[in-house]
Amino acid sequence: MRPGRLTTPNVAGLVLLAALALLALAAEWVAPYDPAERTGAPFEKPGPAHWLGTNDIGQDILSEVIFGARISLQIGVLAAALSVALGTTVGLLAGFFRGALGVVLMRLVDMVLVIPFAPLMILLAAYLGQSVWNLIVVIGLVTWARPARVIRAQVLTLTGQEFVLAARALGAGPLRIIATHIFPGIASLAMAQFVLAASSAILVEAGLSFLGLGDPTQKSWGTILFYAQARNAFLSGAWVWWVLPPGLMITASVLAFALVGHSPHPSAART
Amino acid sequence: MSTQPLCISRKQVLNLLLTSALLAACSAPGQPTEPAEPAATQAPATAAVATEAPPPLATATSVPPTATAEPISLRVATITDETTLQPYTYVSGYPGWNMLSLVYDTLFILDTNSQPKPWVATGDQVSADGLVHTLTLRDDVRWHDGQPLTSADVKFAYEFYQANNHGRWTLPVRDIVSIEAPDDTTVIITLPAPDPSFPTRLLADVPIIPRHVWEGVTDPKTFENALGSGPFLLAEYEPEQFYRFTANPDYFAGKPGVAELLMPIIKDPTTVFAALKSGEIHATTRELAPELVAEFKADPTRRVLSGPGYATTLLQFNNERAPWDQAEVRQAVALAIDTRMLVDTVLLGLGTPGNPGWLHPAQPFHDPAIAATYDVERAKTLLDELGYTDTDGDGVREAAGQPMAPVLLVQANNPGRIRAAELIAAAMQEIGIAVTVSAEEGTSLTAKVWPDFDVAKGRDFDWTMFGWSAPVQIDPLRMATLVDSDVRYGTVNIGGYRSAEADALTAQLRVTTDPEAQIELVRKLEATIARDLPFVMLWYADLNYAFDPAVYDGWVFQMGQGVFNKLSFLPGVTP
Repeated sequence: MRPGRLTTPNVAGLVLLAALALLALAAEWVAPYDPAERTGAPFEKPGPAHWLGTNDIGQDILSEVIFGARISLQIGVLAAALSVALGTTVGLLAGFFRGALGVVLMRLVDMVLVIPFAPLMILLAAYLGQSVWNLIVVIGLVTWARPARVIRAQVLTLTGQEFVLAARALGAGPLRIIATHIFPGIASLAMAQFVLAASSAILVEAGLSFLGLGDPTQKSWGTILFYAQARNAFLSGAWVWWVLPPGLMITASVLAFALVGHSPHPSAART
Repeated sequence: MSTQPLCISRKQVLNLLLTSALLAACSAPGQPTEPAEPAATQAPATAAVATEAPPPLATATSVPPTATAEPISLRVATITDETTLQPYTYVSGYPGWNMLSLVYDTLFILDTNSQPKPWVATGDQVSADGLVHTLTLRDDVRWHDGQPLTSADVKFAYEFYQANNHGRWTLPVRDIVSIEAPDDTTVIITLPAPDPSFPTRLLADVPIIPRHVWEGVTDPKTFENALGSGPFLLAEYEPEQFYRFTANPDYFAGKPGVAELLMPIIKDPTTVFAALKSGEIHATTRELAPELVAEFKADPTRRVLSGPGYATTLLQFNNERAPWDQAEVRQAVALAIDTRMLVDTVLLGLGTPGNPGWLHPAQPFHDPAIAATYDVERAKTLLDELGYTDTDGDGVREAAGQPMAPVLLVQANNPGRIRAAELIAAAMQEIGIAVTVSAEEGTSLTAKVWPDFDVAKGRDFDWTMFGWSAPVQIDPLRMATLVDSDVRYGTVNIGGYRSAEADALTAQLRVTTDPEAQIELVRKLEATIARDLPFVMLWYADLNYAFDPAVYDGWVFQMGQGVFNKLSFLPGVTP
């Protein structure tokens, strides 16, 4: 993503993301019911009172899906922020201090990268316990290595540039160089990484919650899917209104983030 | 549900690990997990009387219609891997024990009313002091290799369980003073004290193993031999895939109704029921989820067998932690819970609302006068009278300066219980108690509620959703284990409830063998529990099983326990 030069996919992504964010913020006004309240009989089919029917205890599924945007986006954004903050810090340090510290940090990155991602996440989620915050921490802790590697590469390029060498020759300390010369050069890259991380965090949250490793008392899209699966929506035909809508919302938000992060210059956004 | 609960939860994690793609994966959280079932089952009082000459087994002389047709090969999906399926390696209480009972025999058997009846033994003569049981064995029972089953095998088996510890078999035989086998068909067991639960807890539960196979075995957990005397032989076992049993045509109670029983292991409920719909399997040990009952009932090619289930779901208080240590507070909580609504919502009406005195209302011991009351206003009044009012206007009452805000633990893999916990939290809000529902993985929840499955090790929780499997309910005399404050007797008193009145009743129950007196004591105990409410009984879920009647229709519903039992495979046999 390059500020000032938005491509058509970028704009489309931003519009979609804005729409989702608006939905999440205005959930109270948009949703027909309080999703925590039992407003119908269990397992009602779609009808005028409940456009997407009701879930296993008679809560309105449409309202659940709308409120689900809140939890899912919140987890996506916060987990991505944690992941990119960690990744950026490690990338900066490893790129700038190429001595022992850099070596140790990069070996750590290599280690995290080769650990099988899904099983580690499942284990961490199972042993840390079930809460939204644990989910955010788990996703953040497992996904920071990729941004770290990308950012380190950029830092390496930057530290070889003449303006950095000049600053160094003039006696600028490492902190000052990082703050005034390096960081601006990687900020847009970190932004692109953030967008990518957010879309994968939403997907991971949905996956973990679906497996019952999220917080089952929070109404995220993944949790809706967890109950749909647990109460046999796939067998009874209820999947059309119980599984598809949250599934499409997940797809939409992942797509939105991917489009925002889309760049005509592959090197900038790809990992 | 299991004798090794820790293993189960590890297995679940492992299951999840094996699912490669997160979103494509289907884990199996739907099955209600009963916490570890404490070692043994005990006996209903009616069984305590000396059994007279038993009604003869209706041997299958009247040939069932299916016997003339092709030999039946029945496919029944099961939900767990029970490893090599001998008494020391099977894993779960249900369906593991039930599968074990197809291969092995017990001296007594639970009939369709879950009452112990003579089986390999033809009767149990009890001495006047209740200590000496003289059991007569049938002389036509043979092991699968043709050797006769004699009193020496029974003596050997019980002594083997005494010497080689097992979570379920050792406890009931541990205190036996002596086992004698004066001749091939007589076993004399001497107990240290009269035990009204003897027939259910031991005779109908502990499998007999062949002496000529097990003699010299030093490490039973690694011994791979499932030679028994039951209606089926274990012909093949493929780990994590299937069990194949073949009928024992010489079975003493009659030829089994199916020639071959194939049991594929399918852990995911959706997969099981999809397979049942499509006809890939003919039945399953998994209970039908409430939302699927109507669908299978509507299918003319499938049949559903239903009945009351004895597995319980309850709201357990920590009776040692203020303010929940006050019976009046617990009463107020119970008054504000609409158990009928819970059953209608979570079970879609397919269950029985809880009896505050613990026993299932279908239990003959239950006192029909005891019933739950739902009265929110009275709950509020009760709390007001205690002085627990909302003093700071935040909508939450304070008790001794502390807000009444319990954390309600719930098993994260049990969607039904999570839903119930949410509904209870909403109900509590009405009366000014702020409940936080916290879903936890099974192992970490157990560590707080029932550390090491030993109530002597204390507890660290406010409230928790809990439940006990059917055996705890089958034997009404076992109520004592739920409430006795002495950890030797109150082995599942996980809330730390303490009442001199209840203790006195349980002490009497332990030595009472007269059925009438037992009923009276049980009802008094029920009344005590219903008044003190160490826990709130929420519901007993009905058991529903779907099967394909065109392939095999011999299923027998065993009261409170379901259809997967030995009797389902023995057409026309009534113990």
